[in-house]
Amino acid sequence: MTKPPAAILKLPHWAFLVLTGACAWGIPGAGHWLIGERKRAAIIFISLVFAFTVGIYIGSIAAIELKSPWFYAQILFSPVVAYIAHLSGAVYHLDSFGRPREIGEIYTGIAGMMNLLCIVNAVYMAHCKRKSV
Amino acid sequence: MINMIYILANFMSPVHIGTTPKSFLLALPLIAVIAIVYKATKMEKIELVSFVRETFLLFGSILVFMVLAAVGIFIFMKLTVG
Repeated sequence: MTKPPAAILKLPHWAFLVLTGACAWGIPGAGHWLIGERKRAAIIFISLVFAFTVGIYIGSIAAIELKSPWFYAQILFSPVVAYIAHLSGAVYHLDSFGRPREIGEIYTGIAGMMNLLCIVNAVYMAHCKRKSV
Repeated sequence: MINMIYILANFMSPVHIGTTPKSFLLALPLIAVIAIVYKATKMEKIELVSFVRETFLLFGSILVFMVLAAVGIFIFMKLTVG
């Protein structure tokens, strides 16, 4: 295992946990990368970006809509989702219906919920690692 | 540049998916992603052979239980609705 770069950062414990969570939300897998879990980070990043990309390919970016309840799951993927929702709604006025939209929402929503699992896991691992040092 | 625009244009309109039995196959990549990410968070150490084996086991068990649930619902519907 590589030495965690976060060890160089002399942050208080709580700030390090917040930073890990924020990184994990910003870019899927970045939280694990920060605590030195490079393999996990790469697996999480590739898998979740794949699921999200397939989702918006099938349902188009119109599958991400601010008013939809699915948005609460989708936004867990990354803050970039809010920008995509703004593009599809306010800028391009896109819409999609039926089966492609459903599948797009399911893919992107599950990618978001799986990222929540990764955020919690990254923060927990960061907490355990700091305690053991 | 033009190629990039064509690639991005693919994300502006939905693809056509019919309501056919084949459309259920779209669940497979999602199940694979769920199995991979779940195992990536739960395994103590990430080693290729054990990771692939554990992921396949989880992928298979999710698939088997989904098929069993589908068969159960199908039988229930046949018995009640006809």
